[in-house]
Amino acid sequence: MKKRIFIISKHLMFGRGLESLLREETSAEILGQAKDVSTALEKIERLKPDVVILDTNDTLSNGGVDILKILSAGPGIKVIGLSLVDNHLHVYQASRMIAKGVEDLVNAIEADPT
Amino acid sequence: MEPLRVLLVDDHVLFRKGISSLLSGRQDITVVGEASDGIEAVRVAHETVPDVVLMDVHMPNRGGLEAVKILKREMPHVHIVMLTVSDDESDLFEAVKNGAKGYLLKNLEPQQLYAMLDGVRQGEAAISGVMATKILQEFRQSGEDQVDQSHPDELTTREIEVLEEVVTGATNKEIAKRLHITENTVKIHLRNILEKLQVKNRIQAAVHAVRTGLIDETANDNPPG
Repeated sequence: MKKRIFIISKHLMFGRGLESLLREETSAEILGQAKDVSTALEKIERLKPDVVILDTNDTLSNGGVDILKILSAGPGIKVIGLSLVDNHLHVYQASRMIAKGVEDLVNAIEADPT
Repeated sequence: MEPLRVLLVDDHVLFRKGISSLLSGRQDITVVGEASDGIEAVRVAHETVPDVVLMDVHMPNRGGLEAVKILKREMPHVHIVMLTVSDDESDLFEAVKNGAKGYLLKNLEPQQLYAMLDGVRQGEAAISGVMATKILQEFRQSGEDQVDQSHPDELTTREIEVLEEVVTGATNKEIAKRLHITENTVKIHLRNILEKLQVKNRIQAAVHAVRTGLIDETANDNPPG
């Protein structure tokens, strides 16, 4: 399935470079880019990307709170935090379901990260 | 026309690969190598003989500024353009003082990267205008104090000539050579310029010059003979 991606980075050249790179390497669609999380959230709620790539260096203002906000902005959104300082890549994903019984809870506990 | 040979130096892998991807889209540019620190940069530069080195100021093992010094000494024909997230004025000034031809902030559009590289191909003068604009943008964004322009003391013709050279990013030595005066004379002129414009350093003088139209940045398209 073609992934739809939104990029959040203060550094435009980084975002554009990433866009170019991903276009070469994947079939993913880059929906757009924003300079900070608050601007991004509004676009993310509207565009509903599958993946949000977040440059966690200069862009993150509220740390974990920002990531939570993004995760809540759409169903099954995956946030990939890129820390350019140490080249680390963190994957955050939330999923949500209505618990119909204890088996739903058990499944959630036992499931390994994808 | 030979494609412009570019060496990319940055320890941020995805940033570097992204720039490489952007540049590979252009027929007239070839990325001849990549490096992730200053030591590797010098080695790969010797191996690949680039026209331009695009280099981050801050890197482990040997930072950008140190690598600039070594490259200018060992491969003086190579043009070095610094890439940075830093608004730090002293970094900018140090890079230029050490021989970097230009400076780009990472929060700029790729268009400005292309413009910078096109400028390198045309020769130093074209870069200078771009660099002055970049400096201007940086200071505008960071809200630097406006120079008091109500009563600027008038610069002499010679002082304007020196200021034009400063806008190109030239060092005192280079200015002296181009204007056929001693380095000491250049320093005296600069001191007077800074005092008359009521600015603290040559970068602010350059910004003031371009911003107020004292120097027409397009005038640098015709390099001094």
